[in-house]
Amino acid sequence: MRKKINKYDIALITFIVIINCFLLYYFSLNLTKPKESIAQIYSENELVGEYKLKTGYENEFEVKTKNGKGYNFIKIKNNEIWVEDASCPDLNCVHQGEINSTGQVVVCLPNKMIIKIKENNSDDNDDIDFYAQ
Amino acid sequence: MTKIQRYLFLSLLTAGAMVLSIIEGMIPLPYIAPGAKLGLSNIVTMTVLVLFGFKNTLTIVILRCILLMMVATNPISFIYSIVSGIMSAVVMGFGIKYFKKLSLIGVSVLGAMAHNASQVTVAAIMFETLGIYYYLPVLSLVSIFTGCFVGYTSIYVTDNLKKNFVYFRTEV
Repeated sequence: MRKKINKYDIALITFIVIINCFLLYYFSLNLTKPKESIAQIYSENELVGEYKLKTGYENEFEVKTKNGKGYNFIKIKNNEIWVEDASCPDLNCVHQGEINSTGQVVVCLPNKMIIKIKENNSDDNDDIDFYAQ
Repeated sequence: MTKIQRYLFLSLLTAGAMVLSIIEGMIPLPYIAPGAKLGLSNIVTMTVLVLFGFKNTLTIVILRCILLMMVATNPISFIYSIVSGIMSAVVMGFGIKYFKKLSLIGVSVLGAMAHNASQVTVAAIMFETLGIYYYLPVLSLVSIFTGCFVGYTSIYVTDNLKKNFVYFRTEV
């Protein structure tokens, strides 16, 4: 018994693949690319900054953890936001690449930093809303 | 098998699992999804589950997580690894006991699913956001391959241990 792959394994794997493809499709339905969106940056569960993503707006800045040891260097360009450099050893957040649609996130587990994107509903024209860091 | 022989084997396997976890971090892999890993230490979890039963597996998983935190990682990754380790051990134990038609490969794919789901859940609780679940389908699809790999390897390991050591010839 239990020696080789059998038809029940294959059935299970197919089932899992189908469910996950369906989930992928479902999640991709929720991704919308609005004309103007806001990137919210949370560090250690606190909102540290909100930046508007719109054409022609560029910015780069550093988000530091509270103890001052960890950092994430974030860049905004062409409606996209990404992490350019970070203090963590595996650089997962850098590899996650650019994001531009609502629903997408970039997470950094070691620094407990997360970037979320939501649609911009307000009409004010300020470029940046800073929060206390 | 006497008590002391069992303890000896379990401690050897714990050390092996620790080394596998450390080596896993050194293997360069193409980036696919955040947190996608080979899960090599699941080979040991699987082997112990087949040869020693569920209780000893839980002991080994908890020991490995604590030792790994002391040697290589930090308390935050300890929380991730212990929750996902225990969840995948529980699911694989359940699978071995009740889904007798599945081979070890199917059981290990189930374990990998449980590992991912619990890890993403811990991250969602830590970050207080559900947006992280966006990565779960990609992670699960990747983990089917790693789960198959782990399952095949543990079939070879358990077969070889049963062939070479007389203690393991009875089914648990």
